[in-house]
Amino acid sequence: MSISMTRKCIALATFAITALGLWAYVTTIQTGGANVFEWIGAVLFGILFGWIAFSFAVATIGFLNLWNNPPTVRELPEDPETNAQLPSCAILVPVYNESPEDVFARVEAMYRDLVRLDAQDSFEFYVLSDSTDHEKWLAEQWVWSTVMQRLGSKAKIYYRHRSENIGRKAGNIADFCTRWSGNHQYMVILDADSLMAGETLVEMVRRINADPKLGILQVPPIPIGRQSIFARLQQFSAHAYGNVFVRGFSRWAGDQGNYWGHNAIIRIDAFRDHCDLPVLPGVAPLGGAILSHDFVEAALMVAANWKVKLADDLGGSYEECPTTLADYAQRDLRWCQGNLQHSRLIISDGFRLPSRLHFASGVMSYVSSPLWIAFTLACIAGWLFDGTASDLTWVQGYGQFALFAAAMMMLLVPKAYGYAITAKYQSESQRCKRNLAASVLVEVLLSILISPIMAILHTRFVIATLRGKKIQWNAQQRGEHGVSIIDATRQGIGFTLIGAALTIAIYYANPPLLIWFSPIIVGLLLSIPMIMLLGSQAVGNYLGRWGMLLIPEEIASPPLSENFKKAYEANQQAMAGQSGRLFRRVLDDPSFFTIHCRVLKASDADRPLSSEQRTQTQELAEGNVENIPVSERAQVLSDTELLQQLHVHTQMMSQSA
Amino acid sequence: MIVDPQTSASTETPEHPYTSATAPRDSEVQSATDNALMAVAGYLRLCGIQHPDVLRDQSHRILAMAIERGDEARTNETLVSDALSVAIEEMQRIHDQVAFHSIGCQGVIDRDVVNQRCVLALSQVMKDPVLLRDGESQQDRSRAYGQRHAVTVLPKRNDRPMRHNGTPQLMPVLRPQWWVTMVNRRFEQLALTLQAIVSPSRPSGESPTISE
Repeated sequence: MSISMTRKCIALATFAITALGLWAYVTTIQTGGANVFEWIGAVLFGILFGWIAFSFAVATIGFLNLWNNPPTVRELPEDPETNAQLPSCAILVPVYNESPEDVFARVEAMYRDLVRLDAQDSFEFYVLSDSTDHEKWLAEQWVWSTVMQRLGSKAKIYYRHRSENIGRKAGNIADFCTRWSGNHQYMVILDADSLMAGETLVEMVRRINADPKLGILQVPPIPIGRQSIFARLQQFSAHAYGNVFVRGFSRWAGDQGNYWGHNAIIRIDAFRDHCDLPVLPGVAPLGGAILSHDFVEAALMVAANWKVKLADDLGGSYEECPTTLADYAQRDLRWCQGNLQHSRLIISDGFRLPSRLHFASGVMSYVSSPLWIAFTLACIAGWLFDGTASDLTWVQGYGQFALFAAAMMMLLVPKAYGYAITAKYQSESQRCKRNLAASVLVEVLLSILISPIMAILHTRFVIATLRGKKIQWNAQQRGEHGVSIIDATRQGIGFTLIGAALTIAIYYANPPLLIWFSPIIVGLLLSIPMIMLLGSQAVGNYLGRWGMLLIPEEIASPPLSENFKKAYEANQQAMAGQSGRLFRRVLDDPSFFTIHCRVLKASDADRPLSSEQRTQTQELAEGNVENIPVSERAQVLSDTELLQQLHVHTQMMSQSA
Repeated sequence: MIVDPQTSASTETPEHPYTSATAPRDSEVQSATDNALMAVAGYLRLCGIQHPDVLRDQSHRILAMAIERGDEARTNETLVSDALSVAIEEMQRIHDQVAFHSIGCQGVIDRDVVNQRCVLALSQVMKDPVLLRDGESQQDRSRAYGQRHAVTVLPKRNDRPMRHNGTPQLMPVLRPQWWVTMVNRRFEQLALTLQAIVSPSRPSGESPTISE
């Protein structure tokens, strides 16, 4: 089916389902006369039902397409001669106060994979650090120098540190484009937790090189490598159901697709010419500098007649996901403001319709929660003020039940699509199919229990954003750390109280409704134990041993993951005993001092302090360099001349001591 | 604290009862101090400090501090401690090495490389814990250091600025100005139609304006 036909089908299906649902809804509320709350509810219902219908239509298209065309990852040709002749491609790894052991282990794993394919000469890694924590910064330099010692000086793995974190990640990439992009034709953008197979990187370069109008090629990343139940839920969902949505999305978006900020290759010239982020009119939260850059960059590229495509047939593209509900919420809070800002761009001039739809999807992924809550409240208010009526038709009597069933069906059927596709193509034995079915059931059950918590969280985020609360873009908490009972209580007590209040209110108002509200109420009442359970690595591993919520990458670990583990262990060894001592080490250890000065010089990040500040620092350091306050160390580390003086002073002190 | 050699010579008095005993020792100390100053200045220069005034001041300051430290622990008689003299000797040796390499490479040698060699030798002197790990030979240490320092931090810059994008405007229908323009255009068309009705003799190919 052509892109145009697919779009028409989806639009028609969405319109038909929404119109039918709206007709049934309006018919039911007119029983006994419709009041203002019911009309408000009808408008909200139309928006929400339309949104679900659209997702359902996309998933159905994806399912039908996958049923006929298996989601097999293409076997890529291994041709060392061709690999060595690829055009130059930069691989950018922007980092911001991340774990250096993790970041450089991933870089090393990818580099080794490229060496295996003899394609390493075409790729140059740039670790672009925006770290503001001076210990993280120094740790990055330390681990980088250790990695380079392991890989040898031929490895093109560069390290740059920006003295000011202007423009966050987008600013970091723009800085690269301004200074070093002239050396390369393409750039692969990664996140700190991204991992890509050598074959995938090579194929991405081949594809973009073969199509002169291709601006961005996005390879959908799959979450891997985590053990907590919450992480396993996300990994399993992406693996089992992700294909259906991704294929459906790819079918209707065509050459006007989207970019998710990482695991994508970009044509540098096109990016430099069109993707400078505009400043939105007005002030934060909805105006000012754009926080979430990826959708906007894709839309700008499409507006300039460049293709933005999704390579849904390519595998070997991985990322990591948050392991606890709190970490997930923290990430969502940041994304929420970024996505809400896009609402202004939906109605801005110059963008194509598919790009406007991508913006709207991003906005709806957060706004739908408060809309659902508002719809529920409008329904309750509508019932309270509604009159009674006799002689009801079937639609009037059972219409709302049918609509509820239809909405649930449209939410659950895509999961059944995912199960059917995975069972058809990836589960060979009966045991695998049984495990898959059990995993789907566990995932559906837990998703239902989590959804009211997520709805409340998203509502809070949207309200906080619209009230202008400043969102801190802190580094993500990526490690497995579990949730203590104190933290779980702190995070979940509010949900429990809401659940208790809702139970009491419904019990007194209309006890039979408790059955209908039970999925919401149970999830809220059990929020504290559930937060603990979801963050538990031990329970996640226990489920894994039973074959539940497993993904193929866990059953047969790819070589890339093995390389990552080895490099990570080596980095941990290199960092052993260094934590908290690296500032002293810059001054004590001439080799590390030299590395630091070279990084400053190469990054153009030398920021001399004033003579007063220098004198003060020298006086403080006279007795012991540890006397320099932690808050000032990043500044001291950015002043090469002062460092030279302190270094020499420390050297002489160590000799005379 | 640090005494200039010439000034120092002029203040020496042969009549002093301890002169015969102390003179050789004073000159020994003076020579060691000069050596220390030269070594420190040399190292500072390799660290990138080139200005002669800064070099002189910093060298004196550093050595003064070192001696002060020494004084706190020892008597004035041990002005130049064993550790310091060892350091000075080593620094001189480094200078010789660096000079030798510079000459050996006929001036082609990169300043960074000189620095690196200097720092390598210094690392060994200063007991760099990384380089002096147990079980590693001198060759291993040198290789490890070389690999760590031979890498390129970043390639040469090739500046190409991003093309600036202005603030996006609202879609035309959402802009009041667009409605004003539309209404004006309608009025304009209406006026033209009226004019055509009033004076139908005007040829249709012409495009009159309201001002006409």
